[in-house]
Amino acid sequence: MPLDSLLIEILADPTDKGSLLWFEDESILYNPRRHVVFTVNDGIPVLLPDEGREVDDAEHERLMALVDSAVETGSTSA
Amino acid sequence: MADPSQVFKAYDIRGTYPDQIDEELCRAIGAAVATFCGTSTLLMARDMRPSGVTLTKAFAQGANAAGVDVIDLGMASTDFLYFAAGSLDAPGAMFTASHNPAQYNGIKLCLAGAKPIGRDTGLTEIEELTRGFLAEPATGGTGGLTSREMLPEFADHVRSFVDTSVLRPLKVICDTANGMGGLVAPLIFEGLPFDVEILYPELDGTFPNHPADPIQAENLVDLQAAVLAAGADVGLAFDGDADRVFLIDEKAEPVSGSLTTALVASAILDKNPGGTVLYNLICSRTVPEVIAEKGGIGVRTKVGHSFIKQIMAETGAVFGGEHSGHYYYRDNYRADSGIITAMIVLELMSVSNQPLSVMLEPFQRYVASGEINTEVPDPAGAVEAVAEHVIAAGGTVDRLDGLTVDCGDWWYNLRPSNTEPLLRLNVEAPDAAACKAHVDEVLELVASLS
Repeated sequence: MPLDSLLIEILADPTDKGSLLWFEDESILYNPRRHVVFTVNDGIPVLLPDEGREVDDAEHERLMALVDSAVETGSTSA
Repeated sequence: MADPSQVFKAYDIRGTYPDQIDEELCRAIGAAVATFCGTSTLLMARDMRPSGVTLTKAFAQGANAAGVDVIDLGMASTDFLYFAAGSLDAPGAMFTASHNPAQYNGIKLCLAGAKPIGRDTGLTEIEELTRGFLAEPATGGTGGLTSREMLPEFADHVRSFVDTSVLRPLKVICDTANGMGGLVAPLIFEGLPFDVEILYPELDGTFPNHPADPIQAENLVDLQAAVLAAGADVGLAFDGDADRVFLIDEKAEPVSGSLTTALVASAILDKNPGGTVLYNLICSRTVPEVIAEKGGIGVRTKVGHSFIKQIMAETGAVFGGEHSGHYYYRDNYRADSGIITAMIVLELMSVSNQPLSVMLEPFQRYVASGEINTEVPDPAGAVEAVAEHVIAAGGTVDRLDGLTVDCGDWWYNLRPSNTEPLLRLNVEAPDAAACKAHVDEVLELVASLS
């Protein structure tokens, strides 16, 4: 399910406030700096710090290999 | 981690997303509000700001974890949320930052029955509870989240304030500034005989056209041009969450909050003879004069919505208006509404069959300066110094809110800002020249005593 373009512009990691990578095919937002994945349910990102799931190195490598298909969020954050 | 003290204000919660207000904070606030209100259900709605999507989700999770069910009313105007809180008799949280720029969001809270929550009526306690839930999130509660569609009921409620059978096909232009008026206005006007055109109806929390703050003259320019170009009967400018409305007459002249209060008061008193009407002390002298002329009882209040609502409850007042474009109705659970105000004015125009500028002529009695802010090092001290000076000169002072001085055919009010080194001055005089002269006079007095 696509994410609203206005959401993509503003969303940030709840802990470091930096940008996230939106992987639409997998319906996840990923922070490559902290190796944390946030789910998106029915178009609504769940951005609570303790709902983020830390991934291992292998998963990080897999996602970074797909980075060209991802959209970076937070281009207009305050 | 977000700091509650940065975002908990005097009447609401407000900050920039995601640095000051974020999902974690909203989850804690959800648990705090649920705990404070102590009811089994909370209502929740949001305006069109994109961050509201994730913030409301987090708020609901917090409330659920504290054992309270949440009913998500979806995207709506603030007055809709108050209607829901009143008609369902449940506390409510409206996610909005009104007219603030796009990166802001916030929450306006109310108790069941749309009773206000301000600093002294729960907001301080909720802030403390929020700190607790930030440190230790609520867990274990089994509250649930459901959705409910109530906009059609709200439309019926708004229309009930007028006799729809007398409405004429007026040409109405609305500027909803990409705010929630774009959702609410078409809904309310559907099936009514008005010829309605809406500027910037797309809901867009980035406010791509102009700020959703109609009290600033530059934000009325597009509406003024549209009213003249279309030969419209009236222009209606709504703010971001559509709880405020400003009128433009058929000549594209803005109608002040005081004049609108006087106009609506006259209509309300025709339907409610002898009723009590509230007005704040910044309003024009025209307002209490019109209330008295229509046989009503006028009650003067301090500036601020919590005062109007409280005194409305105490006096049973049927209507209250502020210079700032907030209009409160007893039969709207004592909450303010832009669209109800618009409907009452449109009904008046339909019955009167005169241009709005002509209808307003009897109320155009004085000239107001508008609020003039001056920087002074000690605003409260400056007010005291002026009060002493006036008393020493044999004058009388009114201390209801700051300092109000009656100078015969003109008056002024000075109020210190609580948060900035500013003094706020309002002057009203018989004409523009006198008003300007008196503004200079008071500012010189302040400067000489500071």
